Amino acid sequence: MVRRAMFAVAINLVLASGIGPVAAFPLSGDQSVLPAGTELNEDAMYRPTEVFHSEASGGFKSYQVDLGDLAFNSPTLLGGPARRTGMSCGTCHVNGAGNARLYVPGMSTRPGNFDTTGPLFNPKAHNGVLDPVRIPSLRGARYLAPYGHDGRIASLREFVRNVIVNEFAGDEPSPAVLDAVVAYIEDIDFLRNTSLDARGRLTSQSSEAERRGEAIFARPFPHDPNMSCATCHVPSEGFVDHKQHNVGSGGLFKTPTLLNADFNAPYFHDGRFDRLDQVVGHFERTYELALTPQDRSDLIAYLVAVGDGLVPLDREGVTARLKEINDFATVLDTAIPAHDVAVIDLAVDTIGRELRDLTEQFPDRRDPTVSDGLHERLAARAILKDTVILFRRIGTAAAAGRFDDAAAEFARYRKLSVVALPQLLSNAQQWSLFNPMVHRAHYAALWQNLRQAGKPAPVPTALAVPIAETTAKPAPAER
Amino acid sequence: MRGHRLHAIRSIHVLSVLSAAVLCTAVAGPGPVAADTTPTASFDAAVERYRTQLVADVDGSIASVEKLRDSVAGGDLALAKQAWIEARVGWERAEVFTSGFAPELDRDIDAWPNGPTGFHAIEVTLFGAGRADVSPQIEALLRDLTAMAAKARQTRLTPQGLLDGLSRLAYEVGESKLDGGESRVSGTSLNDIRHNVEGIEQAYTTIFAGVIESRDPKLDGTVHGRIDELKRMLVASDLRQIDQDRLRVVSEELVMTLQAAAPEIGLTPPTLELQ
Repeated sequence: MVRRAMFAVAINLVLASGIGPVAAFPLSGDQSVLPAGTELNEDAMYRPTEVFHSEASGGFKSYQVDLGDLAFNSPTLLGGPARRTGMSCGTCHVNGAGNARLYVPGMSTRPGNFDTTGPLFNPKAHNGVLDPVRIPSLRGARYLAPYGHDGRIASLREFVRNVIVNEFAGDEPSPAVLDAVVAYIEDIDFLRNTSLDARGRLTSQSSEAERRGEAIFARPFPHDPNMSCATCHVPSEGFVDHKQHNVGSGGLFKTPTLLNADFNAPYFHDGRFDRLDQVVGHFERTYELALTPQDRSDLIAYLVAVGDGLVPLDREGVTARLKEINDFATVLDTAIPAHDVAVIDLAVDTIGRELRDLTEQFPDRRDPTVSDGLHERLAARAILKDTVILFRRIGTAAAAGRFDDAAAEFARYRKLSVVALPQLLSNAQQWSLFNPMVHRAHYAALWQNLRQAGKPAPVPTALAVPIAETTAKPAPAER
Repeated sequence: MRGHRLHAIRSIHVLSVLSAAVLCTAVAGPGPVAADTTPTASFDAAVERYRTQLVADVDGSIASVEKLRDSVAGGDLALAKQAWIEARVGWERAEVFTSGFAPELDRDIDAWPNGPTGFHAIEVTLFGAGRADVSPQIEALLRDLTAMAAKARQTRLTPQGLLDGLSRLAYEVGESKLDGGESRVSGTSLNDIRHNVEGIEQAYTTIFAGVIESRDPKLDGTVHGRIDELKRMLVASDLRQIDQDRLRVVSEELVMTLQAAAPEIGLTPPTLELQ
């Protein structure tokens, strides 16, 4: 996963260079390189939990799913400015969910939405208007055809191809990679929700308010007895009807699922609403639902129950990062024996990027914001850097047709990944940016610099922490 | 509870460092197998030639900081900024030496992201806030750089330490600059990288190239090829024009090649972090 802060900064660099004259060198120093919208990762201590159907059902992810995950998180799948700024599918769809914090100046009207037909990423796809759309979660996407907010594309494969090639100016992906990305997306499950049974009905553990809300959800509208909320959000069908409707939001848009919606704010195709009560208010006005205050509160209680999910967030840390890297590396088990140089390249590139990024979580001796654990931090940095070079050797060997050498290097990585990597990184974790106190000190120092430098403020925090407005259960501490 | 956990972490620490030391050696490449059979090259004369350049670089940086001090005293902000940019030139070239042979001074001079003293503390005020009230920091920087110059003159320079410094700097060149790089407030991160590469080339050419070429001309050619490619890429006028993916690849290939070359000259493959 490309770190969001990095992207936020990088995209602004491109905005500054791609659409305007490039400053002459040497720079005078008057030119800011840290523009508005920069979030600097200061509160990215959690990330969405990713539940794979294959694993949840007791099996293992397939080679294809791992390859798709790898490609999904590789900037090389995209083209133009997206690729140059290190952006990947995973930048917007963090761990296959959404990204309520993503904000691209000029392309977003609020955090969490983004104009996919704007001038930045592919001028050819520019439709001439600023019409940002919400970044949707991909959880349960296999149940949610058709695709796109307007539901214009029936096939997920075609939709993904369109995003890569047209919206983000990527090269035509190979059929194998495209199939893999689709397999990955189709393996992402909804978070489990114990409030609902298999047919989308509330279970016995539900509250009275939620049950009353369920009844209101299925109650015919006062002015249209053929309609209810449940007509379009069909509980037994994943709360969708696979159709487009005009619900007074400015056009025809497909019915979004309500499953896990507690974690999918902002709402509506353009992300105009932050909270479910605003959504209910919109329907109340549009369809003259004449809800009593009690009705309203019951309906919201029901929506919150439907939108819930178990363990929505994972704590960022060594374990999660190394697991992701290991999962990516798994493709080499197949790709090296198959002499598949393209996949080996993709893996080496993406894993190397992740490892370099992980290294920066362990401050070096020049960082005055953390003083303890220097020995442990340096040991963590050393093994990560060595592993970066190890993967480069795999890539170089494969490119030269020396697949036995590549396999031998990979076997060494496998050994390291069992003991040395997790142990050295865990030893240093308490002095790393994964420790909230170290994290805060480090980013406070960065912000202090920026404030002194008179740089613009970050994205408004009220909009930046969507979990505070939902029923998200607290994520368990990693250790 | 917290204390207990800490204790548990400490107790496995000794074991892990031992095992990791073995594993780190294992990951760093084929290992110094050739060291027993390869005659150790004499680097004494080359290292002293390098020292002359190193001292000149650090002295050059000091001269620019003195100019910075005078500009600030005279209230000339534009000249002060120019002097700061010039002072970085020699400093970034000398990093082959500074980070490994004088790590504490290096930290004080180049603390990041913030520090009470050092280049970046001055940078933020000078370039960011547009103010020149940095006299105490300049005095501290002059004091530290003067100490560094003394170290550059007096420290015994080992070929292994210099190859390590060279390789670490080559790795650093490939670090992501998507966030604007090290000197982002002044917008001069590209200068930093360019002078890093000059420092790499200077140290490699002066100390190692001759011996490596005599023993394995192909490896020497590869090192030069990578350095040349880095230089070509860094001719760009703006950090944003650089293909950072390619920069990373070339940086890592350069490190790989230096690690492979080490046994050829009787040295150990360089590690990438001073521990």
